[in-house]
Amino acid sequence: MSDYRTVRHVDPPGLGADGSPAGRGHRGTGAPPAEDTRLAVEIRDLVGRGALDLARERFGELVERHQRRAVRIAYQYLRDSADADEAVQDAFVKVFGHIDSYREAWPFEVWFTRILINGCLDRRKARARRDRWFAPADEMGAAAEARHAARGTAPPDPEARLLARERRARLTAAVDRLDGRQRMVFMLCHYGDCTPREVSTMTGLNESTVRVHLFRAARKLRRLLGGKP
Amino acid sequence: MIGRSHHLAEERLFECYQAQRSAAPIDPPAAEHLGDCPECSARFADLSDFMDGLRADADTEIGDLFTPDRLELQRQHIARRIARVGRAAHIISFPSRLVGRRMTGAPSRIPPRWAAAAAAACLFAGVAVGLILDARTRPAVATRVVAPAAMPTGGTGRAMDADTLLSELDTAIRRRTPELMAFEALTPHVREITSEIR
Repeated sequence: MSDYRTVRHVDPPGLGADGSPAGRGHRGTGAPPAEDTRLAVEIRDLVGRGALDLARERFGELVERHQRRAVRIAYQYLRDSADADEAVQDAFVKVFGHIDSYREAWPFEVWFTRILINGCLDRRKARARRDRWFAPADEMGAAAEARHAARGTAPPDPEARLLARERRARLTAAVDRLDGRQRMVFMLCHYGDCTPREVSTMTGLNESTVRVHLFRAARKLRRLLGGKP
Repeated sequence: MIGRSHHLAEERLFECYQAQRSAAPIDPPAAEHLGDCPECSARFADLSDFMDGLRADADTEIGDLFTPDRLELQRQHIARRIARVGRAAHIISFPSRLVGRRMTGAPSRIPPRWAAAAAAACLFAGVAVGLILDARTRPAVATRVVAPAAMPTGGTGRAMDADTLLSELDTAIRRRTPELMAFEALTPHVREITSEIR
C-alpha cells in the first residue's frame, strides 16, 4: 500500500478566506504571465461582471489547453481511468466555481495543478478504503482492445499485451514504493511536464529539495525496475 | 573542466537529462565531458533511454484509455457541470392537477361508530355459522372423541383404549386429508411417546 503519511495536502491558493497567496511556497515563478493566466484573469473579470455565459465560453478554452496534462497527472496518481476522469472534471468545475478568488500572482497552471492534486489525493485515500472490499478490474486490456476495434486495426499479439501489462504493473508497484514526496515530485516533473521551479511553487518545497527528490525518485525507480542506478 | 578520471556523478547526469528534456542548455563543463568521455556518454544514454521509456509507456497507456472521443465527452461533461455553477437551484413545480384543489382540513383518522358495530355483528354471525356447519359435517368424529372420557380408568386398559382411539383418528385423517400425510409422518405420535414411557 502506498504511503500517504508523507504526502501533505497542498492548500489551493486563492481558496482561502481572503483569497490572497500567503504562507510558505505561495509565490509566483517570476516569469511574465502566461496566456492561460491572462485567460483565467479575463474569466474572473467576466464572472465578476456577471457575464457568465461568456465566461463559460472562455473557460472552455482553458479546459482544452490543460485537459491532456490534467488527465495524465490524474491517471498517474489514481491508475484508474474513471477515477481520473472524475478527478479532472471536479478540478475544472472547482476552478470555475472559485475563479473569483484567483490571483494573477500565481500562474494558472500552478493553481489548477494544486487543486487537481488535492482532489487526486482525496480520491486515493477513499479508494484505499474501498479496495479493501473490491478487487480492481483490468481496464487496460479492455481499453486497448476497444481502441483497436474502433480503429479497425489488429490488436497486438497476446504475448506483447501481457508483457506491456506486466511492465505497467511493475512500474505502478515501483512508483507506489516511492516516498510520498518523491512520488509527487516525480509525477509532476516527469508526467506533468512541470519544471522543478514550478513544482517548488506548487508544493512549497525548496527548489533544490525538489531536484533532490526528483533525482532520488528516478534512481530508486531504476533500481526497482532493473535499470542501472 | 572535469578530468577524464572523474566521471560525472549520477546526480550530475540526471541534471543533464533534465536540462536536455526541458530544452535548456546543459551545464557547459558537463556537456564537454559528455562529449569527451564515452563511458559517461553511454551512462547518459542509458539514463535517457530509461526515463524516456517510462514516459513513452505512460503516453501509450493514456492514449489507449483517453481517446479523443473520451476527451471530447469529458469536455462536454465539464461544460454541463459549469453551466449549473452560479445558477439558483431548479424548483420542481407542484403537480398542476393538485394546484386548484382546496384542502378543507385533515381527514379524521377515527373510524365512525357504526363500523365497529358492523365488525362485531359480522364476527358473531361468522362464529355462529361456523359452529353450525361444523356440527353438521363432523358428527361421527365428535362422538368418538368424547367416548374415551367415559371409559373407566385403568392402567393397561386405558392405554389400549387410547391406542384404539389414535388408530381411529389415523384412519379418519388418512381418509379425509391424504395430502397432509407427509406432514403427519413427521409429527411425533402420542402412542410412540406413551410406548416409550412404558
